[in-house]
Amino acid sequence: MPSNFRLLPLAVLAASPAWAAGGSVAGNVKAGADSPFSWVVYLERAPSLSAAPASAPRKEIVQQDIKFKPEVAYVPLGATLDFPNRDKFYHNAFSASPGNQFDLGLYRGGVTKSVVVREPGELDIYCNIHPDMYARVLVLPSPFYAEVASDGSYQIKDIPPGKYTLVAWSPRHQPARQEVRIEAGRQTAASFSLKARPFPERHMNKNGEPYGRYK
Amino acid sequence: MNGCARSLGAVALAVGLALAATGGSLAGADEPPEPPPPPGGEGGPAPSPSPAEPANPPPSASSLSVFGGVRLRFTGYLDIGFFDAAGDGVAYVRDVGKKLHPEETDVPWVFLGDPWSNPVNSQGDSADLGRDRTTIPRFDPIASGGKPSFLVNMVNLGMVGGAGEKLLFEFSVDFEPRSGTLGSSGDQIDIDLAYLEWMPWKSRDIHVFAGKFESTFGIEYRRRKAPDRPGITPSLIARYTTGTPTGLKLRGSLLHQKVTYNLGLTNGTVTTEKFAHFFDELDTNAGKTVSGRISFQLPLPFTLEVGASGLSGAQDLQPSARDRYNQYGVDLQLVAHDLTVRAELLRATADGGGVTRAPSLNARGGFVEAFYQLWPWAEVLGRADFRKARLLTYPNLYLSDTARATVGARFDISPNAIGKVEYLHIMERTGPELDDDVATVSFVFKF
Repeated sequence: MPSNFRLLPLAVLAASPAWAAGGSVAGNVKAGADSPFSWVVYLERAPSLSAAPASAPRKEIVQQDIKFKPEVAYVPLGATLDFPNRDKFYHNAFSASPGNQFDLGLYRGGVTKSVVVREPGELDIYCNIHPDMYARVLVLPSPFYAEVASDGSYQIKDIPPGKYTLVAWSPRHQPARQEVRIEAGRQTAASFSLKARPFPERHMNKNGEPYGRYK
Repeated sequence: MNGCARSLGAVALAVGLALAATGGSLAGADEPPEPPPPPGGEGGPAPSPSPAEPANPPPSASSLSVFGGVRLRFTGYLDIGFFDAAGDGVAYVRDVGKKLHPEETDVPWVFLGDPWSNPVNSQGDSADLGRDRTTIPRFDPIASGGKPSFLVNMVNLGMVGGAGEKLLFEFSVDFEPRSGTLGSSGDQIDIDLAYLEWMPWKSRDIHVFAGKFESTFGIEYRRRKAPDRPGITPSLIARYTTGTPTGLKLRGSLLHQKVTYNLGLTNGTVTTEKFAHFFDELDTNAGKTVSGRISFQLPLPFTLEVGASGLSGAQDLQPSARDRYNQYGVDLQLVAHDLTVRAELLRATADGGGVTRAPSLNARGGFVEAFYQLWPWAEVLGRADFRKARLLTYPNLYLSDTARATVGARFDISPNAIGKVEYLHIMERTGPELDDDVATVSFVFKF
């Protein structure tokens, strides 16, 4: 899914030769019997994306069959989220998540509306008229992240030495955090065990009211 | 039907003019505060894809924050129509001399047909209620006499407010400009909704209502208002299911909304005020009405919801708690891509009689309707419905056995502007066949 972003860290690192002498962090992420679908491990408070490419990437989240597709995504800070409406009727996309609040209004089939994500963190995105539509997007704060493999393993390489917060994120589990110290030329071990959380969560419409006239 | 055929051209012209007049300017309006018709196919306009436009739209400005955190939001709509009813606009006839029903010796007057089977708008106003042949007081809101007419179907204004995340209120007022008679202005004002809604737990879908709220019976009430209704007119059984009762209600869901439930304790039934006979704003007896519905959403590749409703209580508009009104029914809603199908069946009985000679009722009816989203801006619909009833409102006995076939279309010009056109063919299955078909057009602007 977010494969179009996988090369981004490399591009940033190529522009920063000092980081090439960094260390790495690796480990496992587990959450009971759940498979690591769209799980990500990333560094908080790491060097920012100031060296990011001028043209920020885009991520398309399609509105089709009264669903957001995909329902889960992760994007770098500054990315543009495109919401094409491919149903024949109206849709909306809004988020009340702190830092990235937006409301694209109602728009008809065939129209695409977009939003730029300006704050790192998690966005829960809903449609104001279809309560069963939801998407959860993680806005990554730094180029230092890795998608968790199907066996639960991960590795983030070429991290500048220093002390960081390492976060394991899953759309259906509580994010878990660890403090890690990265040393040049060495691999630090860090593993996580995640606890489940509801997804989608019960939510109101954009006005903070229950949906519809089904009262 | 001749009358309707005569004006079908006018109807088409009216729709065309409405579309032409509004399409250009309103089609660009894309930041409306109030949603258009909900799931699966009632919304829907306009064609041409537009390129992505990078922007950072601000959070909704549709609600206001005033007075220490209380959120307020205004709602409403304007519904303007044009209709033509065949014949003299009346959908029932007197059985003169009881030639067809000589067995009805206990009542002075027998009428055949259904006075409310030829509605011209979403609130179900009949094209004409006919001459007041008896002493029963009644208000005839349209009284068209079979003449085509423009009319303002309704002006609706409302407000939704919230204090914190757990307490909401809503009220909604209907205004209907009508011709006055004998010193009456004729204009109607009806407080349609006025309730408090309390959600005790944020993580659980449980809502407690107090006041005057939406029905607890069936599914048609969900789309009873003009902006929400795919077509224009209500079904023949809407009179039993879409009223807004006063009392207490509990509504919630389980298993991620796969099971929903509704339970009401109210003054009276959920029949509509306009159809009278079984509706109290304030109770006239000590008995209360218990009503409820439970529905299940089945695990299928498409959306299929099936539900069952029941209602029982002391009959309205009479002093005794012993005279009963009972009603039960089943419903179904299917949404598969661009097709939506809904159906409902019910049975209603009222004892009647007593010291006030309260009305008695024995009715059954139902409808099946389908909507198909043809293009993003256009939807076609069809409905078949029936109602068989024996309604005694002394000294009148109405014997109805009516079936209807309805076709129509809906044009979502913008999120705020909707044009609709509908034709109803009405069949009286017993007694004389009446010339009472209706062609009607509606233009709705909502906010």
